[in-house]
Amino acid sequence: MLSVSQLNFKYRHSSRPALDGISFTVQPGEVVGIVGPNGAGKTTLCLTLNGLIPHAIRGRMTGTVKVDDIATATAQIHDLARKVGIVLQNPEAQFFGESVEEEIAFGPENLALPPAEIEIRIEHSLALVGMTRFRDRFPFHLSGGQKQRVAIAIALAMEPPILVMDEPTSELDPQGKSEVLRTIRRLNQEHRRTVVLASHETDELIQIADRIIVLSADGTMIADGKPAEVLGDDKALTLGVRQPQLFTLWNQLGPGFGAPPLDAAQAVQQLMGSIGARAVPKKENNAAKAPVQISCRNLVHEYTSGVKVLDGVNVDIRRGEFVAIMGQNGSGKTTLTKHFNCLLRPTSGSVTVEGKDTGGLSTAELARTVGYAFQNPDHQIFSQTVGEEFAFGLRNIGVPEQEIGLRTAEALGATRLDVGPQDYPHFLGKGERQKLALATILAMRPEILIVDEPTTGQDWQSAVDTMETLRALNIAGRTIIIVTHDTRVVAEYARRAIVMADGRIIADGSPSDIFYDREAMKRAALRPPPIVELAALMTPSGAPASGILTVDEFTDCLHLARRVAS
Amino acid sequence: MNRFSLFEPADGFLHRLDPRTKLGVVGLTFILILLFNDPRYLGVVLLVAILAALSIGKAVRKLLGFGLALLPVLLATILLWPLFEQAGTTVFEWGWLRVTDLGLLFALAMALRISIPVLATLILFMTTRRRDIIAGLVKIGLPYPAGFGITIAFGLVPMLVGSGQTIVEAQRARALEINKGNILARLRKSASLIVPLMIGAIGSMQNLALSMEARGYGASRARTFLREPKFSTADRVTLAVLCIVLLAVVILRFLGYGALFTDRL
Repeated sequence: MLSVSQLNFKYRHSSRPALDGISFTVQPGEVVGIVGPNGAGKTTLCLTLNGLIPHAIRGRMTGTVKVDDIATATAQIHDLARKVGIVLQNPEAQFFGESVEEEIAFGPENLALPPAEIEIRIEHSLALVGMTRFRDRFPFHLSGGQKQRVAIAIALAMEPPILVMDEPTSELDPQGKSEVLRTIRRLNQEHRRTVVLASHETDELIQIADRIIVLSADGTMIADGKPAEVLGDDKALTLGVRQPQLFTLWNQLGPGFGAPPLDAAQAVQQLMGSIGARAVPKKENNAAKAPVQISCRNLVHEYTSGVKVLDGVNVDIRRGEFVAIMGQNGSGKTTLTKHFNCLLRPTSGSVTVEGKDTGGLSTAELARTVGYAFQNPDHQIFSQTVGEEFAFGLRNIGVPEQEIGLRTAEALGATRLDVGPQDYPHFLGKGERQKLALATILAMRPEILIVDEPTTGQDWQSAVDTMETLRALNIAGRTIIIVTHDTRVVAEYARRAIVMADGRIIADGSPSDIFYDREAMKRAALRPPPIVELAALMTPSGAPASGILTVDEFTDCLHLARRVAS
Repeated sequence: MNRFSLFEPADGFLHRLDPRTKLGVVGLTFILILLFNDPRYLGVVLLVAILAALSIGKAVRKLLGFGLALLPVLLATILLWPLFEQAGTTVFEWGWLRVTDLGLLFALAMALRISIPVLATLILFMTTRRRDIIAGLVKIGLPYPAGFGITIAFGLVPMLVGSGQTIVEAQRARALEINKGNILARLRKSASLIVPLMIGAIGSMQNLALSMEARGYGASRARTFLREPKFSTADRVTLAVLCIVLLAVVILRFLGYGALFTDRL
C-alpha cells in the first residue's frame, strides 16, 4: 500500500543528496521503524511519505513514492493528507489553538466536512489516544506525553490508514514515552493502523516494530529486515545507531541461546537454567569523602500560584562527583539544578556553593564556578562565527582578550569538535551545535558543570562522544551533574544517581542501588536499562545478583559463574 | 485562567452573542470615536464600554495590566496635544508655552480615542474564542486565510514566551547581565536573546506550515466550521439597537453636536 522506489531527494541549496536511492514497501498493518544517525535523512524520508516533499519543501526529487498506487509527486497534498497522517517530533510546533478540540477540528474543517461528522471524528480520535477528558484544555498546558497524544489525534482525525511519525518520543520524559508507545501499539494492534516510525530509541523500537530500515549518514539505505537481523548485527554500532542492549548481550554470549530477545522477560526465558549465581563488585562513589561543593538545606521553591515545585530538598554534592538527576518532567529536577547557579532563588531554605550562601550572589558571578549547558543549543547560539560564540561568555566573565583564542582551542579540543573559529555556527549539524554549546560553557572553565539532557535527540555516536567528554572532565577533577531521562547513560557513566518525584528526592545512591530499588523506580515511573531488568528478573532463580549495570558486567559475571560451575 | 489567551470561559450576555454581532459593536465604537471629538460625548462611550467590561465579572482584573501599559501613551497624549492645538482661550502661559481650554479638551478627546477601541477590542477577545472571531470574520466575507493569519499571530505568542524565557536563562548562565552597561552595550547584548528567538520562531513557522499542509489546509474553498455562528434573538435586538445608535449619532454629528471643531475629525 506504501511503496518507495529509487527515491532521491536533494534540498535546494544543499550540495549532497539527503536521500539516495531508497526503495522499500510497507504492507497494511505493519509497523516499520526507521533508524540512522543524525543527518541520515530520517525526517526527510518521513516528509516524502505524505507528499510534503516535494509539494511543500523545495528541492529535487527523483524516483517515486506511491500510496495506494497513487504517486505522491502528482497527487494533491490534501488528498494525500487523508491517506497518510504525519506526527512531527515537536508537538508544540503544530499547535496554534486555544483548545484541544479546536486543534483536532482544524483538519476535518479544511476538508469541509459537515459539523456533525467533525464532531464524530473528534470524539473518535480523542478516544483512540485516551485523551477524551482533555478536549477543552489549552494545548500548551498539557504534559509532553499528552501533547504528543493530541498530535497523534490530530493526524487520526483525517482518518488516514497510514501514520508516519518522526521521532515522536525523543523529547518526552519516560512516562510520556511509554504513554505514546502504548498508544502506537494499540493503534496498530487493535485498530489496524499501519505505522512508519523514525526513532533513535532502539530498545523501545524493537518492541513494537515488525521491520527496521537503517539509513546511513550519506542518505543511502543499508538494511531492511527484522529487528533482530538488522540490529543484532554489530555493524549497526558503527553506523551511529544504538544497538538494543539485549542484542549486544546476545552477541557477546555467542550462539546457543536462541534468537536475540526483544525484552527482558523473553531474555530470561532463553537464559534460564544455563547460568549460575554471582555477585558483582559494586562501583563505589569515587568522591564520597571529598569536600562538599554544593549544599541545599530545606530548599523550597514555590510558584506565585502556590504550587511547590521543590518541597524541602536536602542534598550535598561533593567535589569530583559524577551525579545524574532523574525523574519525570515536573518532578523538580531542572528547578533544582537552576538553583545551583542562581537562575532561580529559593522561596525558603538555602543553597551554598563552595561554602558561600548563594543569597548574595548573581548568576553572572557564579558562572565562573558553575557552568550550565542547556538542552537545546539553539537557545544560546547567536553569533556569526564560532569564535564570537566563545568570546561572548568569556568576555562576560572578564577573561582577557589575548586568552580567548587559547581557551576556545582548548574547549574545542575537549569536545572533539572539528570546526574552526571562523565557521558559521548555524550551518553546523545538530550534533555539532550541541557540542559547540557545551564547549562554550567549558571554555569558562567552571569547577562544576551542569548539563541538561546531554544525550536527548542525539544519535548514539554523538551521545557517546558527549558522555566521554564529560567522563574525561570528571577524571580531571571537575564535578559533573547531568539531568537525564536516559537510564543507559546513567548506568554507564554516573557514579551517583538522584531520583526526584513531586519536588522531593526519593532516592539517592549509586546507580547499582537505585536501579534495583523497585519501589523508587516505580514511584518515579522510571524504567531501568534492559540489562538491569534482565539481571533483576534472574535474581530469584539464582542468577546474576544485583549490581549489574552494563552488558560487560553481565557477561563477566556469567563467565565467572561458568568457571565456578565447572 | 492562562497567560496566553485572553479568552475567559463564562456564560454571560456578551459571551453568548454571535461573534458577528460583537464585531459589529466593536466596529460601531470605531465609528463613534471618528465622528466625535468632544471628550464629553466620548466619555459616554467609554462609560458604556466600562460597564460592558464590568459585566464580564472578576476576570475583568486582567484588563488592569493593559491599562497600566497604556498609561504612558495616554499621559503623553494629554501632555503633548495642547502644545499643538492652540485654538480657544488661554488658560496657562509661560514663555513660549501656551495652553488653551480647547487644546486641553481636544487632548482629552485624543486620549479617549485611543482607550475606547483598545478596551472594546480587549472585551471582544475576553468574551469570544479566537476561532469564533475567525468564523465570524469569514461569515462576514473576509477570506479564510486572512482570518487565520490573525489566529496564527496570537497562537505564536505562547511559544515565543516559552522559548524566550529559556533563552534568557541560557544566556544568563553564560554570565550575561542584560541590565548592566550603557544603552549601546545593552543593545549589543540583546542580540544574544533576539537572534536565537528569531531563528527559533522561523523554525517553528516552517514546522507549523508543514503541519497545516498535512492537515489539508486549503483543501476546499467552502471550509466548514465545527461551531457555526448563529444569530439569536439577543443578536437581532443588539443589532437593531446598534443601527438606531448609528443613525442617531450620524444625525447628532450632522447637526453639529459632539464636536469641538465641526470642520474636522
